[in-house]
Amino acid sequence: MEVDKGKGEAEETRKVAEADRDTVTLKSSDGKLFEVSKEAAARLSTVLAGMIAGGSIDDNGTDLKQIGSEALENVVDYCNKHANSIPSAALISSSISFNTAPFKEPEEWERKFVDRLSHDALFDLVEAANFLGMERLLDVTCHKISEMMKGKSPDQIREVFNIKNDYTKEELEEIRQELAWAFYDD
Amino acid sequence: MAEASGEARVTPAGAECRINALGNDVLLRAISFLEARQLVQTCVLSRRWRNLWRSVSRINATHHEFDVMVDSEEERSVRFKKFTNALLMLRNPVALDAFRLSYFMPGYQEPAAPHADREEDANLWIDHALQSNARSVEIGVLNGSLVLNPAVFASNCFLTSLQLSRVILRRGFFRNLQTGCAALESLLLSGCGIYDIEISSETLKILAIDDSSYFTTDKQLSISIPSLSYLGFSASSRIPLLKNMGSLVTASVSVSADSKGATIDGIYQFLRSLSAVTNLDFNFKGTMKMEKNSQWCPKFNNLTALTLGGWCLSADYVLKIFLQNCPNLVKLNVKLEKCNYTSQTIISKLKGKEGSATCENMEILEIECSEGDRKVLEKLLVEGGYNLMEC
Repeated sequence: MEVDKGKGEAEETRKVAEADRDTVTLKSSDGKLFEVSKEAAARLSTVLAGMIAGGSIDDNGTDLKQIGSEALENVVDYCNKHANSIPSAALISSSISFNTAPFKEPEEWERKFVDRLSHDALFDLVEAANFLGMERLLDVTCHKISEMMKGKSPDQIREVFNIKNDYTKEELEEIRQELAWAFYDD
Repeated sequence: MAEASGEARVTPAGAECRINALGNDVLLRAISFLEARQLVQTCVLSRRWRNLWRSVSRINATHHEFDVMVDSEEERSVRFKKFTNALLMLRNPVALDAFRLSYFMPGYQEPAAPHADREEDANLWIDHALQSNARSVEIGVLNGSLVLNPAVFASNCFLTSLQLSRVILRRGFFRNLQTGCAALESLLLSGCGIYDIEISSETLKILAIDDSSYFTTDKQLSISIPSLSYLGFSASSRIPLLKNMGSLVTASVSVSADSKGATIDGIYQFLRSLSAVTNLDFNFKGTMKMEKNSQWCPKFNNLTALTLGGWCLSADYVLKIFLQNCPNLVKLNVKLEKCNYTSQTIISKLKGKEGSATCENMEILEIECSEGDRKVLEKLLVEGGYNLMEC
């Protein structure tokens, strides 16, 4: 039965493709081309949705001058994975759990997706997601950043993110006193 | 240095600082996932971070962030109170998207005074969050339980999602929720004590009351929510009266035969109010006294996925009657606690007397079983002509 269903869907997709292309081509700042499902792009990115609706998509590759090829590849990869991971209606309704707050914890595949990124690739992806208005991807990547800070001392956080401490000793002391309710001397 | 830190991908010294190059909106989004005390402490990282914490739109205040500091529970609570008061007072007046409170309540054997004070604090914070336009509020309580003041929810707010765990809901809570929280779509209750016997709403889409929740009265509960699409109900109570459930698509319910008034008619009324759903997970606790005459089972014309517990095999006719009333069923899932049925028994219960399958459209049969030999079961089911889906 599963196979038959797949066939049906493939035929549907082909029909759509005959009438209209079902992918869009995106061009990175360094000139590389990537294809992504139009449906997924429009669903996951408010900026791409706007461009698709407004007809400003170039068949030869829509220029995204702010995004390098590695980040764009990750964006496209995320869109494709997202499109494939949509559970069937039956699964969604049977798996409603105590997790329906506006922010949903990253799913297993989303965690893996961001965990494999290098430090720079993660930040490139955060910036790309922000530029393209990809709310979910921005949440997932920002959540990863918070996990890199979680439970660490300020010194450890500075080290992980290479943050230069530009306070004077006196300023730091002043802040700690002002916000003593959050620090105490521990 | 690199070894000491234990981080796989520590930025090499001299590399640029990527995080400080992010815009404030993005940085705020990242640190809003932190627990509240660590969030505030980011102010010491560098000048760039000094006041960021004041503008986050998500607050996650957890009592356990103060656990390691002092031994005395009393002192921890004093510090947590000071902290949360200051945080809510000193943050910038930006709209609060989400407020989460993990709280600690002393047990009931302890003196009454700290109870009242702590309850008052928590209620004030929740009130503050709602007045700051919070869309999502999540309250979890450790150890004891927290009595919520229903009045907190009575004034207009933007709440869409409310999740409560180990909270006592005094009489009037649901009425206030209906008047004050006119945008509420999701209400999840876990381990809650509920005084109301009427739950009605015009906006809720998701309602779940889990099996560690309880109702304080043995009067029959009535639930009337025309907008509801998902109902999860397994609290210990009498079988509730469901009214106006026209939008319901999925129900996951567990009722008990031991509770007063679980008559054949009561079960029929209950199931009939669920009879338009497409997905049903129905569990019946206690001994089945359902009659062979099938008067307890309405027609489920829309039902495509049905999950039943092992109780449905307790009498020969139960499963068969169910299936006879589900003409469009595609997937049946039987959850067994113990595999004390042979699969031949299950198959014979699935089939009519002539040996033909009861549901024409049925494609998937899953048997979930925590004990026993599942493989043998599957093999036999396949021989019996049923497709099995791996799960």
